[in-house]
Amino acid sequence: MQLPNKGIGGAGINYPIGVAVNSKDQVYVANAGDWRITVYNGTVQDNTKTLTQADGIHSPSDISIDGMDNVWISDPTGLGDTNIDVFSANSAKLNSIKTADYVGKIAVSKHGPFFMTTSDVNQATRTAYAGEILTNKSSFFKSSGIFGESMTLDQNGKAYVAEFNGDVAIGDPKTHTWQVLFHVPYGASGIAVDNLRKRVYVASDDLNKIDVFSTAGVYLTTIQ
Amino acid sequence: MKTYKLVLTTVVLGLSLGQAMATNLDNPKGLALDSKGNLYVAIQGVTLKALAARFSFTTLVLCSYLTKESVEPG
Repeated sequence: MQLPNKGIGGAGINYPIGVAVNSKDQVYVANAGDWRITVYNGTVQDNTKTLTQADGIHSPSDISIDGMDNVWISDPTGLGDTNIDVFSANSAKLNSIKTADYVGKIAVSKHGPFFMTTSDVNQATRTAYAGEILTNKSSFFKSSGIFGESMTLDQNGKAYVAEFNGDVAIGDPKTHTWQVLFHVPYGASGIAVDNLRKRVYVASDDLNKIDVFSTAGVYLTTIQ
Repeated sequence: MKTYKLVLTTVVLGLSLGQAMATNLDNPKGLALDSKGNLYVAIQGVTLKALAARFSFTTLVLCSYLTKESVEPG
């Protein structure tokens, strides 16, 4: 549905590739079209929080927000590696972590550890625990055979990973255990978990829809 | 005059309902939820859609038009 402009003003959205919401329900959008991060209070753009190339943003692939409302942005350089840029809620740059791989998706837990999908030398995408990547240890995701296309974390820090083969798996970073929750006939372009309503949303950019499952893995409905 | 107003109102209402039935999720790229359970969808192109979760999700597709908003360039 395309509703009329609701008073946003300005071209704030340009090929959005990722979206995240902080504890104050401010909406952060990573724009692949003009390499910017735009922020909204409801439908009103907060220009004071816009991040651009002047802030070191090059080509964001995804965005996530941690429990302190710090903003984590995966920002591939175009040379095969990726900067993970971290900004405070006030848009001050806190850190920039370089990874050797292309990072497609990023998810940050409330307690700090973050996860990302990366491409290895064979161009296969895996989901990696960043702490292990940074110390050059093998990823527990990879050793578990999880090849993620998109992912998210729930409020308890458990990872929901949509794999290339259509499996949607839930993993516990503390115990390194995984189980396939359900299967969809596509590689998901996005995934979100609503713990309150016990819902898992899985988006398909190929099929132009969002499938809705319970957190027990039962299919509920489809939004198209 | 009253007849014209009634017809106009009916047409507008019909168009609104027609739009609501077609959510038109064209190439969704990313999802996120706010504290109220509203679902934000990054649509490839120039749109960010917010799907309201004020109703149970089984009725969302029919009812979301009541509060659904799109963020688009001005």
